[in-house]
Amino acid sequence: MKSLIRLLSSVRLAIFLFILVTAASILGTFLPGLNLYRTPWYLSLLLLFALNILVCTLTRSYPRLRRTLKPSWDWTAAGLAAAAASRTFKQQAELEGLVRALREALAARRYRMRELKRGGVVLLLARKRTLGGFGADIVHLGLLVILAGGILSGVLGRKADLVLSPGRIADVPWAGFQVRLEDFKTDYYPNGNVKSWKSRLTVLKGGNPALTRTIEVNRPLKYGGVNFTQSSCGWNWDEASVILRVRKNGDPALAREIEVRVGGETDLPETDLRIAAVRFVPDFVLDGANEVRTRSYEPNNPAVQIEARRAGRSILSGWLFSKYPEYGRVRETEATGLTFELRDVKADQFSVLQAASDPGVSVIWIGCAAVMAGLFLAFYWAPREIRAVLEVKKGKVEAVLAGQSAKAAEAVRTDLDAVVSAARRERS
Amino acid sequence: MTEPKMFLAAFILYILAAVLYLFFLFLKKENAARNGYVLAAAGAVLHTLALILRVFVIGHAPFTNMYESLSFLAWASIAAYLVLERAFAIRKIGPFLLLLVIALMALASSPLMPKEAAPLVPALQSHWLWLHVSVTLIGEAFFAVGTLTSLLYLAAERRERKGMARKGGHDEKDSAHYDTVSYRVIAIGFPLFTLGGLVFGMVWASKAWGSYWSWDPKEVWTLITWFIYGLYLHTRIVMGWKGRRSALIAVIAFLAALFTFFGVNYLLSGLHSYA
Repeated sequence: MKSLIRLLSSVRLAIFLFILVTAASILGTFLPGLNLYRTPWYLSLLLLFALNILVCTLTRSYPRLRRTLKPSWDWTAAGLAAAAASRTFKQQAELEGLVRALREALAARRYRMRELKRGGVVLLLARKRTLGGFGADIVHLGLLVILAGGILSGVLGRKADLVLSPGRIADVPWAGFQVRLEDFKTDYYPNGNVKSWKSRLTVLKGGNPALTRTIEVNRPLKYGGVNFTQSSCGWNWDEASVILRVRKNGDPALAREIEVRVGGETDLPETDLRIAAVRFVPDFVLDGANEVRTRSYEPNNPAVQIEARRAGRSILSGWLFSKYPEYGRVRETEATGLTFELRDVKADQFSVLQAASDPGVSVIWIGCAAVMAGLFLAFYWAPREIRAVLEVKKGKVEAVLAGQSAKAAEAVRTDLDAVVSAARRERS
Repeated sequence: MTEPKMFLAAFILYILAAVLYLFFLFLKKENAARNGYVLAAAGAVLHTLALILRVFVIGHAPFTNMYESLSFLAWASIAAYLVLERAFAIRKIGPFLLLLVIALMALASSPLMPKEAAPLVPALQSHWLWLHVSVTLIGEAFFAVGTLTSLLYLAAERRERKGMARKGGHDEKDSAHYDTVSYRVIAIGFPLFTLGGLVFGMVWASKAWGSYWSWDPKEVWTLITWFIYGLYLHTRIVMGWKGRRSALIAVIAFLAALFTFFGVNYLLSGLHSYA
């Protein structure tokens, strides 16, 4: 047990884990197919790291805490004089007066002091920014809180994608309420890029509307512990219809627009023809085998395959492109004198909203706050300590001061000089 | 003056400053370094104005494409250097830092980087764009300065080792100074990088994507960079590593930061496709 704790508290293990976790994470970014970050062994690596952090922090912070709260008062004038940053001076003065002057000078530099009298000797302990010494511990505890939040998210977090067309209602499975999409709108910039997606959503409680809000990317809705975010959107191409413009050569009177449902057919007025929209693709492309496919579900290159039928017999068929009318290819078996254009496509847009409940999130934010507080304490709030021994020797007071600061060694020297010169000035 | 002209003027001032700093480096002209500092500061002022002007022209934060991000990183690096030069006595880094800044500016103005301001896609329409990117890049600017000090340390240490072999004794001052400064500068950058890159990133991700962490390549590489800087700090603070080993970790960490900034965009696909 003891050797296990020693292993877990060792910095060597920490260094080893640092390198291992880093290497594993790098591997994961280049092999996304592995989905490495959710595998048990990556997670156990993180847990081992957490255990290492926990044991390191506990074993190291406790002695530090004890030293801070209960100083040992075990220093001597000779010991202080040998320190890296120390000052010694003798002064014709009363012991108590000089102690007071020193205390005032230290207080002016915002040190907090403790004093111990032992025989004729006065020991002075002055500290400032003491909390900075615990910065690293706070960071480490914050990291553990973040990891706990992550575990909480993984275990208790619920997530669902709600695919909603306007007017439709979706159940939020675990929350006991429903949502209805009132409408969905895509706004565009003048250059055609998407400016915003707006889903107007009503929360239904027991079938009754409780609240209506518009959700956008970066403007989620939080209701009843569930977060709704605009996740994506798309078109319901399966139920699209196309608007065709039909003209007859030499007969301007026949120019008209007709609407045909994809998969259906409709009469072409004043003729004995029926026009069918056989197939529609939003982003037309020919693959290697010359087969028609769609490159995406975005209407980048909408194309429809039409057919004209007379008495149930196909007499004309071909593809029309809304963006490239001149490339339309229509083959006729009987001359009709008709030309077709794909004018527009009508399809409902659906909105995909992510519903998520995650009790881990607030824990994560607490952990982040602790990490940041700890980092700023550790790196921008370095603790400083000045110890002093004052003693009457041959009618003079001899004062020895030593400053100590792991992260602000120069600053503590400056403090020492300022304190010494202020105390001496005070006297003379 | 328009934004591109101001950018160009800042660029030219940086080049002139670099020339002066190189005079200082090779001909030991103290005056040259002082004037170089003034020119670099003047360049930084113009660069600041260029960035502000761009914000007014495009109407949003100036880091939504590579041109803007590179320009901002160059600005943050020169600003970090100008602030630190005197406090940390790192004048000899000046020429190298300016060369880095010039490289960033040249890359930003190369035809490979699209400059036209595209209107913001929905995911970027947030105040977190300002906080997330600017704080991260300012943190990285400190890393850049810390990396240059580490490289100078490695050079100084080599020189001193050879000098010792020749003269049988050496002055540790230069290399020891770089070693300390390197740590102190990285220690300034680390909390900023954590705040901007990870914490602000997570807060924004939870708002925009509905999830604070998605193991997106850019997220993971930010974490990897953070781990390597964490390794640097732990080996230094807890294990007392110094000098060459420490400097090498600092250089590797910065390479990871660079990969997070550039490499991920070009080599790995993910949610951060617009950055």
